[in-house]
Amino acid sequence: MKKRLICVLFLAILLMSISCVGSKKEEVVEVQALPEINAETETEIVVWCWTIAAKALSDVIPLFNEKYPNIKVHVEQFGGSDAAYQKYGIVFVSEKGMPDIASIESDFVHTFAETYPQVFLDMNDFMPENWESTVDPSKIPTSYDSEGKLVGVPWDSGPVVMFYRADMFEEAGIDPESIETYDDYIAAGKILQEKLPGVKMLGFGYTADDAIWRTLMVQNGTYYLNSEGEITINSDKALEAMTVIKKLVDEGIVLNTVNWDGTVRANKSGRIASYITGGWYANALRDQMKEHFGKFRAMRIPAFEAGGIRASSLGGSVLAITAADPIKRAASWAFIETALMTTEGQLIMSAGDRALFPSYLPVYETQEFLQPDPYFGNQNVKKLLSDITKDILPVIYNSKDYSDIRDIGVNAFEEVINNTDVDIKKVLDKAASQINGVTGRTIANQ
Amino acid sequence: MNKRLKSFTPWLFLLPAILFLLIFNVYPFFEAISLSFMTRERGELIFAGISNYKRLITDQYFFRALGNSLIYFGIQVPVMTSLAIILAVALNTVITKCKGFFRTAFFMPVVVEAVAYSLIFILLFQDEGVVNFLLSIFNFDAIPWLSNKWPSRFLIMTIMTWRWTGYNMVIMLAGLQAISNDYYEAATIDGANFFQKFMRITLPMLKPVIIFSTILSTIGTLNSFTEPYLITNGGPNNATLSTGLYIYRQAFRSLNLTYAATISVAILIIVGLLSRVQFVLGKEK
Repeated sequence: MKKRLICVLFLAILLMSISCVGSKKEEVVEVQALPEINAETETEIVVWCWTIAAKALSDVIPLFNEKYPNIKVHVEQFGGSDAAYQKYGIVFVSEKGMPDIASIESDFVHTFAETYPQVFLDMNDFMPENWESTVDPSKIPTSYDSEGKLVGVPWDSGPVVMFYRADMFEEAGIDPESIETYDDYIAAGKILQEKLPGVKMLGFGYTADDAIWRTLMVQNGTYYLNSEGEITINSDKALEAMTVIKKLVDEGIVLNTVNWDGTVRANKSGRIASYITGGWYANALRDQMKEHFGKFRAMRIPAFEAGGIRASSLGGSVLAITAADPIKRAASWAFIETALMTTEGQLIMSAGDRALFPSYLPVYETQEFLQPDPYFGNQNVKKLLSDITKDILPVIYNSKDYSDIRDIGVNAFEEVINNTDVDIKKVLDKAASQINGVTGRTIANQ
Repeated sequence: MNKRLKSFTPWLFLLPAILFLLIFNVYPFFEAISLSFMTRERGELIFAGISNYKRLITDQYFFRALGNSLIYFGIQVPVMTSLAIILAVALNTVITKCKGFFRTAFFMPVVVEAVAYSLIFILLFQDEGVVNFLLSIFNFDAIPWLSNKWPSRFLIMTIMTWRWTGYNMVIMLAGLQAISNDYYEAATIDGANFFQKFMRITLPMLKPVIIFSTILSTIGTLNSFTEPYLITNGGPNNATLSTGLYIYRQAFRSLNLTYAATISVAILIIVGLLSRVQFVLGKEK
């Protein structure tokens, strides 16, 4: 009797709690024109950002305050994007304590913007008409959500280059100009490793991240999904990219650096001669490897075959407005415009040791931007990066399922790289059907 | 009046604790259950029936994580518990000097900051780390501790054992000290040797404590998060994914709070069942 009573009580509470949540009233968000703001406007806006990017953004505040002296901008700095995302996850669901401007990596824009669309302001009405022709083309698909809302303004880009130790290449007698394809790269790697024992040609982590695969997929004109949102993780191009990486590993020119810290350590201790990653890595080199001043150079990554594309994209981020108050929204937009859509703002953030690589193309034409870099032996790295940016294929299509899909991608990468005698096609097909199972997306015909 | 007040007063004293429990334990518990029947469609929570549970029973990540926990449960928990018992008995009877030092030494790992020791373990076990160097001295091949399935599982189990043995040992010690010395005296008079005393007196008397610590360890392996997150991030190929880490990923990386709640409910049921089984096993005889 007593047990039954408890059961009934339990069920009653359960049903009550379900109906409570279910009946939360729908809020209709109306698109409103932003109020006018001027030098007299007094308000405060809060920006959430991480590490070096936060410092770069802080540097723009004086420029912004020239026009709006009474708007205070607070940049709150997080230890890394993961730390910021954890906070976003909590504040967006409760809609309490949100920042006015949120910085988000391009890959994760949809994760937030599709899950909590009510907190993201549509910026279609304020962006200049021709804005799409003024930014890195590969960043445009990640700026809109699935309903055409403009949720993020491209901030910085991740044109991929190969950083290499010029001193080591010279010691081994390798001419970097002669490396055009991945086969050339392997051959050069073998020579280098013979001449310099204890050094490997390339390094990346065999677990936890599939960055090198994503890099080569974009280079080869594909990504996890296509523009229709169909699965392309097992496409021929994705397979080709993975096969090349597997070959690099099998030929013995790669050091397993385990994770990000391991890669930085390997670069610092000189155990790897080159590293393929986004141009933003120049910051890590400059910041953490002062002892290698003048030794590093950057060059285009090798092509799949002679004459092929030698550009890709990895990383980069956007700024989004999550403010609710109209005045703060207007102030946030003014700040984003100053920071991201003017050459002055982007020049400040790309200067000195901040060195974010801007998505805003007009900056590339300025003399201040195209300065030789003493750290890289006076090589004009920014010129190289800006040339590469224009060659990146616009294939990075994301969705709210990005995290789930990337986890599956990382698993496939780990399975291929860490095992011998794997049927790569089989692994990728399995990954595709897993994505289908988790997200319900269809696998693209090819 | 007086009588009524009398029965009312204790409740008044209990009120803060009850309120705390209701707000931070009971309410989230039911909220999690109700969330597990919801889904979020472009920001709106909508009732989704059992669709989350349907996904759960076909979710290979969930079952992989459960399988991993089962492996820990089958290997790591028994090893750690036995070690804890042996150490506790040793500290209680064999070692008579420097007891305080040994107790502190074995308990120390619990106090060490997780991020710090994770980093040190990664350094020790990386491909060209100290452990592989020591192996190479004895002419063993280097083992890819962090990138191969079983080595990485072994590594996680080693770390969990290193960290929690001392903690369980302290629980066992408390249990040992509660066993009256009379039994041992009587056994000595009857001519029992050390091993017989251990098997016939110590273990049976310690059984409730052993069960308690096993249940705690079981829940611990299911919810383990720090080690897999910091050391292997669940990899390689999910060989070290734990249910705790999977819940975190769904909740905070995929922003799938409702599905994360569904997994938590499933874990709740599994932990409840396992604890029940252990209790029943403990009550036999």
